Amino acid sequence: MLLNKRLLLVLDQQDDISLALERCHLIASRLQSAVTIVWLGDDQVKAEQAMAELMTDGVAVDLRYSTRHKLLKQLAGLLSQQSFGLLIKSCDPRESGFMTSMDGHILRDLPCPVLLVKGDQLWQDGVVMAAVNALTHDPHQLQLNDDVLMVAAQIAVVTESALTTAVACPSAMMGADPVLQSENLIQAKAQEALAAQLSRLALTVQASAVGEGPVEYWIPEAAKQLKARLVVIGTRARGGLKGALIGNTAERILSRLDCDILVLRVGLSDEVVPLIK
Amino acid sequence: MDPIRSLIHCFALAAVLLSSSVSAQADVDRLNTPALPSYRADQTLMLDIAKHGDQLLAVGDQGVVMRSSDQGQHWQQVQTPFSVMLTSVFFTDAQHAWLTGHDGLFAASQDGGMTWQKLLDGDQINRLRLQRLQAIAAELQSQLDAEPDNESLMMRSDDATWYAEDAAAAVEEGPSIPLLDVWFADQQRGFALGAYGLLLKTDDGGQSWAYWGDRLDNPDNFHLNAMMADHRGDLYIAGEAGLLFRSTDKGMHWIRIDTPYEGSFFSITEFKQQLFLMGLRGHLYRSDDGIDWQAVKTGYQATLLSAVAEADKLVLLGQGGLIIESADGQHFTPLDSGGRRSLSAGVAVDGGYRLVGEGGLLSLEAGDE
Amino acid sequence: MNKLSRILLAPIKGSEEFAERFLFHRRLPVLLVFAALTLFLAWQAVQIRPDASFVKMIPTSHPYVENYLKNRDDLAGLGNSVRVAVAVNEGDIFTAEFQETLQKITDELFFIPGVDRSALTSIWTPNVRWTEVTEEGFVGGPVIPADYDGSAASLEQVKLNILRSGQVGRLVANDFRSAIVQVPLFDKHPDTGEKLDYQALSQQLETLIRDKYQSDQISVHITGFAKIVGDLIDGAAQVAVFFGIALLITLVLLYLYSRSITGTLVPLACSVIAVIWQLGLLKLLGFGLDPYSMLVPFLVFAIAVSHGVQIVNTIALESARGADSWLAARRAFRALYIPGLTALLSDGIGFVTLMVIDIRVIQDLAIAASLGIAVIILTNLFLLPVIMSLLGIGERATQRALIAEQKQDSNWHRLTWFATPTGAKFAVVVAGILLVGGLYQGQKLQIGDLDSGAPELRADSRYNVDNRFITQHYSTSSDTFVVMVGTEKDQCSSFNTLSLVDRFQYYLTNIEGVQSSVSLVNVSKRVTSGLNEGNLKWRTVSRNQLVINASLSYVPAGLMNPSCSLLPVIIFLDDHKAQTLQRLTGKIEQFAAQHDSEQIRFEMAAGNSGFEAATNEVIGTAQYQMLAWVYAVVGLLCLLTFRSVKTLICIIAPLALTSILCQALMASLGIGVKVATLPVIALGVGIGVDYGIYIYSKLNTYLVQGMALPEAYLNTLKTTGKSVAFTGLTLGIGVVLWVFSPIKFQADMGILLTFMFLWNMLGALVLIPALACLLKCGATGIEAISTTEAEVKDVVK
Repeated sequence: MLLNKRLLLVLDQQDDISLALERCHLIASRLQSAVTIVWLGDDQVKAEQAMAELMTDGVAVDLRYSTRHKLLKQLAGLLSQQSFGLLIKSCDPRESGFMTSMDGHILRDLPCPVLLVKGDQLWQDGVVMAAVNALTHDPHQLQLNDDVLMVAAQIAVVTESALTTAVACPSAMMGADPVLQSENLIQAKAQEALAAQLSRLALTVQASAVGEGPVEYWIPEAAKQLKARLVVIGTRARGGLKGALIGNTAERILSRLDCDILVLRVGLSDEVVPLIK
Repeated sequence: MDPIRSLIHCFALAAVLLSSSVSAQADVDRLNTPALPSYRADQTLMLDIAKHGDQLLAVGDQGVVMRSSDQGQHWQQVQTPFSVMLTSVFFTDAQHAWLTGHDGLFAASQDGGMTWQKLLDGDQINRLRLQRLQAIAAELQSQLDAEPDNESLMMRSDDATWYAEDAAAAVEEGPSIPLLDVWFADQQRGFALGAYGLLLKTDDGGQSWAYWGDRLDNPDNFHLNAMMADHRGDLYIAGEAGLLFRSTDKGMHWIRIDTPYEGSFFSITEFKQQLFLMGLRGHLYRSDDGIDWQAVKTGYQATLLSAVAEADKLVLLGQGGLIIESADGQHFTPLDSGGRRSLSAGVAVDGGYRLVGEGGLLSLEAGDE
Repeated sequence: MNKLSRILLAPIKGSEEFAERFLFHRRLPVLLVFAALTLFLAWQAVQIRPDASFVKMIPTSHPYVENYLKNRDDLAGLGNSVRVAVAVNEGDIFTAEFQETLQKITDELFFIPGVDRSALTSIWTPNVRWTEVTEEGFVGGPVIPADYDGSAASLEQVKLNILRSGQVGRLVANDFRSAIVQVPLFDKHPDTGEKLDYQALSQQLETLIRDKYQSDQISVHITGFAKIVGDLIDGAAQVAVFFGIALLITLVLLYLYSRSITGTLVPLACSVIAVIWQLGLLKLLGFGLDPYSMLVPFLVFAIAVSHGVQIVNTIALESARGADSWLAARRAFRALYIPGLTALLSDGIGFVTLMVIDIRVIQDLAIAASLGIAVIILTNLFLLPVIMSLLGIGERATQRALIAEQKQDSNWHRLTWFATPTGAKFAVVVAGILLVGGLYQGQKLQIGDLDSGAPELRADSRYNVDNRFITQHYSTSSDTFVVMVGTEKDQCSSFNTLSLVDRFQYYLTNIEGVQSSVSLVNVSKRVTSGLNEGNLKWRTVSRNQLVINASLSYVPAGLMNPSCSLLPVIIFLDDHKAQTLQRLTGKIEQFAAQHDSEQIRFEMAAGNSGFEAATNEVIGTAQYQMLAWVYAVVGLLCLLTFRSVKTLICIIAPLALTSILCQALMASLGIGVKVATLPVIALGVGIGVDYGIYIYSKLNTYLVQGMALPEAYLNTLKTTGKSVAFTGLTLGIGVVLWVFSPIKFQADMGILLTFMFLWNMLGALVLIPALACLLKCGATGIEAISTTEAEVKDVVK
């Protein structure tokens, strides 16, 4: 199972580390996985305190130190040496000037799923929301949709929460294909596509929130409406020039959501699929 | 222009091109090409006007002949088969009229000026002249052969030979000598005169001509500008360089008369039985007998080109729109021609004058003083 | 059709996502980039200079113009020239003061850059001579004698010389109260190659000549193409003032309409930025502004405002639905992307088709207009939403939109009558009547100038007053048409040539509209007469070649070329009306057809009327070519966008009606189709197609949802229709004030543009639903929806 592998926990000394730490603790103890802590900063005392907290439930913890500048490189190195199932970090989407945020870089460059922790509620008995792009034709995107749904379903099972989906439909565009000209028609089409996908994956959902608007607007809206505690979302992880020009939707959503966000990136399906079986 | 019109235009042009491609020619010989009918013909440069009764004929540049049958109230352009500049016109009677022009043109009309036939052109004139001068040279040559030591005879023979060669050269050059005036005694007998001492005589209404220029004492071949007959029937020829000739035997023999002026005379006329000779730069001379001439000061310097002599009035016409009239031939007063365009000829009609000149036809009513 | 349209339009649709993400991803950098570009282009734009050229105005591949350009060097002063008439207010010109003034003016003109000094002519230049015949032969000399000293005797001599020089009516007025200096100009300096700076020349003429010498006693009158251009360029400042007024009116009305400060200022600012970019780009590409494309910036502004208002309106509607400024802007961007882009592309490509016309000025205009349209895409379709997303539309505007949406009985209901069968038939019948009337009236549309003088300027403008002065007091008109008679080398003075040209000149006097003509033949005739003591009976072409040669021993400049293979016949016309020119060229062609040969050719044309004749011909055909191209491009794009021929008819028919009525209007107002007015109709199509595309796109979104036509149309009116009506009215009001402009050209354009704005709006609002109803237009592309989707639709409803 995906989440049975090692966990990578990134803690920033300057931030409030309690949320991420707590979440990691919960997950690690539930799944009995080992944790590697990468500590940003040089306060050894605090770091060891954190380590100690994690170790209380018999979780194997291993501590590394790093700085902001070297973080990405170090993480990449770690990930190449060992396989980690999940990277946990507290959500910090601040951007310094026009540069991509740290979270953004992590999402783009690191080849593992990332959990950004924002909330302190337990996932248990809550709502897990899978954000899906139902109207796409792009094969990568479709695969990503599948991955997101599968993972969300897994988590829902494990945490005994309700599985819900949210689809953001593009707004009406005059002059385009007739279907795309009316909001009603678009949403109807999205519903239909969603239903088809769910039936293909043999999943059932408690609720679906299909709405209009750019993704950055609707997904947070839907999360509020459905009272989701965890949102699972995919990202195209565009880097380089494309990343600079267009950016990634997932990154932009981070600041608008109040709950935890699990981001899956394109291209991880090789590892996810066998695991689900 | 809309598409339909341009299409029709194209077809029309094509038609013209096709029809004329056969006859397109580089030279258009103005001796043989008909005058162009024009709605502005009455504004063409006109050089002479003649009157018979109510009929008027005016001739001018481009072969334009204008005709009126109501003393010049209304005019019409008459078709002519030539388009050279026409220099003078003359009525003998209601039916018969004659005109001369450049390139040696002489034409006659039998119907009062409605139709015209070309009877003489410059080539024919050249040949006539050549024949005559060659004959004279041959004659003198034979005389000289008889008297080889006669100096004056030798000079005359040389001169004659030279003139004959000159005439031969003229034949080569083509019909380039203009006729400047014409005078007819009746339907049959008349004279035509022109540049370079040209004088021609006809006895059959212009069908055939004889070269008469050798009968004038004009060794430099100065231009002969105008011809007139006075009340006695004597004929006068006025020309360039102060030339004046008189004939008292109906033009068979001519004597040269000395005049006090060495410039061109353009016209000679008779008023109250006195002769008036006029020309360049306002020079005007008067004579009772045609031999002695006195200057008349008009007070005007413009060249005098022509005159209209009535019973009680003499009107002189000149360059720059000059019109001066006199009742006694001594004192002249100006009339208003309404402009600065030169006037070359005129006739008197009921109630005024009909004049021609640079601006074409001009009417002067009696009240325009 | 569907497949083709899908392939061709795929880039447009695909690009929307990319554009949207790019623009809204990081808005601040985007704004900074735009700001930087704007500053740079603004800096370029202020450096833009007027750039007029005589040759640019004439169709350079027309045979007449080709002939002229071939012989240009031999035709001194027959191209571009200016006449300066110096007049006394009392008395005549034979006073010492006047002569001194005239001399000084001649000297001043000599030194003005661009003047062809060797061909400058006035009684004070040595090339103007008098001749007289005396007993000794010819005498002659310069009109102003060498010993001139201003005394009464000298002046008397001058008077006499003038009379003897034949210049009365040419360089000296018929009433002896004024004299002319003829100033030929170089379009391009032969040595330095620099182009003539019309504005500088005009200013120099004003400051150095008119201002300096005009006084109580002396008045100065100046005419010529260069002066017209100079006056127009000077008038550019006033043109700009009228633009400014139109801008202000748009500002006020837009605020009253939207009650939103940002909703007013931002679209206007973006539209002005579009104009700045357009001018800046023009400067970068090396173009200048010529007086005939002065209106392009305003057109760019007008089209930009149309699109801007659409976007702002949509943003207001989205705000009324509860979206915040960012969301509203994004949704508006997406919604209007395709129609906006299609409309602008069809405008832009439509204008590019003006390049088919062979006149440089119009081609430059095509480029300027297309550039402007392309820029609008960036400023009003891209920049505007980004700015609005940051600033928002304001509470009041949102409230207004909300109220308006909820209003049940709006005035728009009345217009929906046209979407019903009875109303539709009525509308179409009325349109049909107007069409017939328009076609009938439009037949009277004339090509070329219909008035004398300079029709671009008012009849009482200084130029036209001067022009009338000169026409009244002189015998040579300023309307010249030059026929170039070509012969073999050294044959230009042969008897055959001169005799035929003599006949030709007489043939010309027989053509209505011809005043007189001048050529080598006139010189020969006069001198031949002079050689014979001034006898009028010798004023003809002598048949004796030696006499001809003697008569041509002194020939004034411009009547033959050095190798004696060209003699121009300069024809003076009563006017340069299109009819006159057509008649003349037709007759000359006839003559040429009859007489052209190896030895002699009669070729047209030069002289300002010659060029005008060529231009009229080109414009005559170009008019229809241009319309055909513009409609083809616009039609094709509409067809691809909507994939339905019926829709195409709905959109194009009102445009066609506008074009026809515009032509009829031009005919009624006495505005001829000339270089200046030719593009107007094409531009009108560009303006109008925007309305049609927006309205029909919106209508379609409702039809696609299954609404009936009247209901769908009502909704369209309440949203898009409102913007269209507002834009049409506002721009119309802004432009109608141009009628008061001192530049007649701008006033005429004002009337035509007002008509086009209003009529396009009306046509779009009334005829589109009418035609849609009658043609039974369903939602376009609806056939592409599969049956299952249709079922889903039913379920959703």
